[in-house]
Amino acid sequence: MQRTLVCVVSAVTAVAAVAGCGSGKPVVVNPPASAQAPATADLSATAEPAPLPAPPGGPIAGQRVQVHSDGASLQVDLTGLTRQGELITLTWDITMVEQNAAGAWYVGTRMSDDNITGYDVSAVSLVDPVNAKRYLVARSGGEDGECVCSKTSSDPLAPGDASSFFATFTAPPPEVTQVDVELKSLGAFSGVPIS
Amino acid sequence: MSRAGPLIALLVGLAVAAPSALAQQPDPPPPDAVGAVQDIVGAVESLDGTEQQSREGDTVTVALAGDVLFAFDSAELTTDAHTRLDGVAAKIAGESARGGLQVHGHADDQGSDAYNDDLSQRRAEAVEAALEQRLAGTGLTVDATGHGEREPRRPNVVDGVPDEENRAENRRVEIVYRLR
Repeated sequence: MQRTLVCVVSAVTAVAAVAGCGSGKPVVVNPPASAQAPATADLSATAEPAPLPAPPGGPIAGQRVQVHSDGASLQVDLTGLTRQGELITLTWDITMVEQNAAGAWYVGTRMSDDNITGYDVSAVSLVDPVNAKRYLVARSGGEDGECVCSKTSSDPLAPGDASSFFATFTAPPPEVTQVDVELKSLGAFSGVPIS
Repeated sequence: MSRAGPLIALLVGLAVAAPSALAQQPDPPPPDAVGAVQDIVGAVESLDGTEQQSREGDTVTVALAGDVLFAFDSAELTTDAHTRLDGVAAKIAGESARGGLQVHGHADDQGSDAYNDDLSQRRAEAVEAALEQRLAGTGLTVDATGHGEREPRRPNVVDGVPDEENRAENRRVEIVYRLR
């Protein structure tokens, strides 16, 4: 389990982010290599998957999330929503701004479709409101397979600490240029452009 | 010993250690090592969650919520069901599916195994008949199987408490077809 100190500088949170970070320099966080090449049984595919581009100037969308009845406050930043072949990968960072009173808030199962034991982000989905479709997180090897997504931790995040996540989905048809992103209990974003 | 001594010793030690650390390579894999290649399957569902589609290779699975297709305890298709199946049949025909379609009926954990086996079989057959009617002349065949409560998608009971959302998801009919 990696914890990366990420300084995310965005128009919304410049003051808070800089106050919480040391160097003040934005650090680009890329998803792990496993997210970059879709595994496919079609061994005759000749197109090389392009590497995921780094976000040019910072997050593509960000918002402050107040965790309900908890007192913890997080900054959630979407850092990428990129098509690759038949798949699309969403990447995002969660930065702890203010811990709850017990200083014990952690990501845990909050973005999982298994509330009890799911230490992953399997409940994250993309919504295409134009075509009224929800894209569920992709699984490897069939519908019971492993989520093609990040695992999460039960370690509390100290203020200023960030965790990075990714989730992969079947890509919407090419004419869909933006989708809503739902991070289960950690917020929703509408009209996120697909790159 | 001069104050520089230990520092020099440290630096020499690092200089000696570092190249060998960098030169270390992992052992090559055994020649018969096999890495599995898996399909990545992403499901897409309607916003109300009652219809879901996923594709694995050439095989497409459309899952329809039992509660939309049938009234409680019944294997008779509702009006909504007919509309849904119109759409599914049109999609299947439009995607040039080939060969045989399979309809799988599933139940949640309420009621006995025998009861659920029977209900899920009758429900699968109801969908089979509806699809056969709509796909007549396409050369596609349809086959129906009831699986009772044996293949839940989600746990019916979580931490000792029945989960009604999961149960609803388990009460489903899956239509599986292959693309040309």
